[in-house]
Amino acid sequence: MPIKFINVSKKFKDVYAVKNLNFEIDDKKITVLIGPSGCGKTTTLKLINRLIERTSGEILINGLSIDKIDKIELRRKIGYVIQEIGLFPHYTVFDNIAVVPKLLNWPKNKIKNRVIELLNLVNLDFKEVINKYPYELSGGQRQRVGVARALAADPELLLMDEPFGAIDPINREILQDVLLNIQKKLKKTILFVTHDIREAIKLGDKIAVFKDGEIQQYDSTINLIKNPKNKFIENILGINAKLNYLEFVKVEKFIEKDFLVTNSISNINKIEKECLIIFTNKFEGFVLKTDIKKGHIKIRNDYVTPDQSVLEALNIMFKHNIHCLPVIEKNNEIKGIIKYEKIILK
Amino acid sequence: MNYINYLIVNKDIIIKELFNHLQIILYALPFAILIGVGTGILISKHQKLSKYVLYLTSILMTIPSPALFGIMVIILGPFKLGLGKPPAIIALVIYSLLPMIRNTLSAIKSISKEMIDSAKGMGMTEMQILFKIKIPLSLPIIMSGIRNSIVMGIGIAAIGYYISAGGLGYFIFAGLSRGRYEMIITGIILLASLGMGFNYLLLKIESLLTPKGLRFKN
Repeated sequence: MPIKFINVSKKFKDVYAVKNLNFEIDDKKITVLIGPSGCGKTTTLKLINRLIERTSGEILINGLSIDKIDKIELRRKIGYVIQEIGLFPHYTVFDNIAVVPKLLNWPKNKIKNRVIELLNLVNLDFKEVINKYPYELSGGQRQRVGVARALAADPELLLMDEPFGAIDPINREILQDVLLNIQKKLKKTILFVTHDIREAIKLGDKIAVFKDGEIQQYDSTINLIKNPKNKFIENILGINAKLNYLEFVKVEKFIEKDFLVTNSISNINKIEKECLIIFTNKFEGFVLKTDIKKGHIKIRNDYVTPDQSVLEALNIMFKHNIHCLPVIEKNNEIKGIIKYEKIILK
Repeated sequence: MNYINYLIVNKDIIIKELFNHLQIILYALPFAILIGVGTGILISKHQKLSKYVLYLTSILMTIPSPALFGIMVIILGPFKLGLGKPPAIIALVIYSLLPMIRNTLSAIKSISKEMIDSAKGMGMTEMQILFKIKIPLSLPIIMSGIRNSIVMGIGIAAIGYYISAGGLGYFIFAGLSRGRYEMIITGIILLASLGMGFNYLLLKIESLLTPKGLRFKN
């Protein structure tokens, strides 16, 4: 569900909480809203499920104004996750997850199957937790239940308001990975509010930086890091942003086709491509163009998989003083190569 | 021996007045709960209104109980209800309002805004939020308000004797004016045990009504 904001403003008395928002949230992607507290990011989120009504402007979901959809129906179609406090303490895990399906009058069997399916999805053992109350769970487990609950009725759109804010750093990383995994499988449109730039870079396909109710910059994560528009954005990004980016971004985003495949290296003197991959039934190694030019053909064995981080690829390159690496899937399928000069940001 | 003798001779009166006393309380109870808890829920959404209502009920509570019973007699007099149980029951209802409204209000206010937002965000209607979230979560505190009102009411109902509503007040006040200690002691013991008994019973009900997920707090 793509969402479009047209000139949206919200005033509380005389103060603008958000002012003239004009932006579009991409379908099936994670869009992160980030900024200091009081910058309007949470307000923006709540404008979509109408927990806060806008003062002026128009919000379109799938091209349809949100005023044209019944408020209650709209909310039942949107998953909503807040900090762990949002779980109902007098409901068991089962009942918490089943809230929206019950509101939608699903048959009992369907609800039960769905709850089990969702608990599996967020990596919880359903037998262990299904009848527990929130106070019997750890913070991380509670948040997983929160995510499962939001996904219960299979909404296309998920609104997440600092969902992992109260979780310790180690569990937060784990939960972020859980979320990324879910996203890989389910491809939802996710709007994610955070004040943690590391989290934003890790999760966001796109990032919108808020300040004083206005969007300072809205761009793909890579572009934002490469070209911060002003000092404020640079400050938000901090000195580690580039490194964070390399740590979180997967090799698959940088794959190029600048390679040849061969099954023997008996008579190679000159190749057009950067890299020659030796492949019989499985990956046997690779030879670099630069090595051939220097006259000594050296077969190297290193490679990366597409889901490794770029930082890991860089690490291997530095270690062997080379500028590119083959990318090989775990089942021995050749994906391409990754080049140093493509990774390094200006 | 005087005392035991008194009990044996007067056991019929004792049972009758005990019954009268219970009657006043049990008649007042449903009205008090309906009005007190109902008002609490209705005004919980309006900050200012709830302030005024709490203010008003606290003033009502400062009226000395004999005076309130007296006022009731005057107000209900024209309707030929001036004496007997009706004024006593109404006075008791008025006295119960403050603890009930106050507890209901503070219970509902203690539910975090985030939780309500999260219920709203999932598409619950106002009614569903009230009955599925607000009331179950407030029940323990509302119940303790009800318990306070009842236990307090047991004592106050004794004043009903002065307006011929009957009840255990008879033993205390008649005993005082006649200088008969065995009467006074009977009244006190009965009132105290009634209070303790109700308190215990209502505590049990309270913990039964507390949703399972909240019981760890007790």
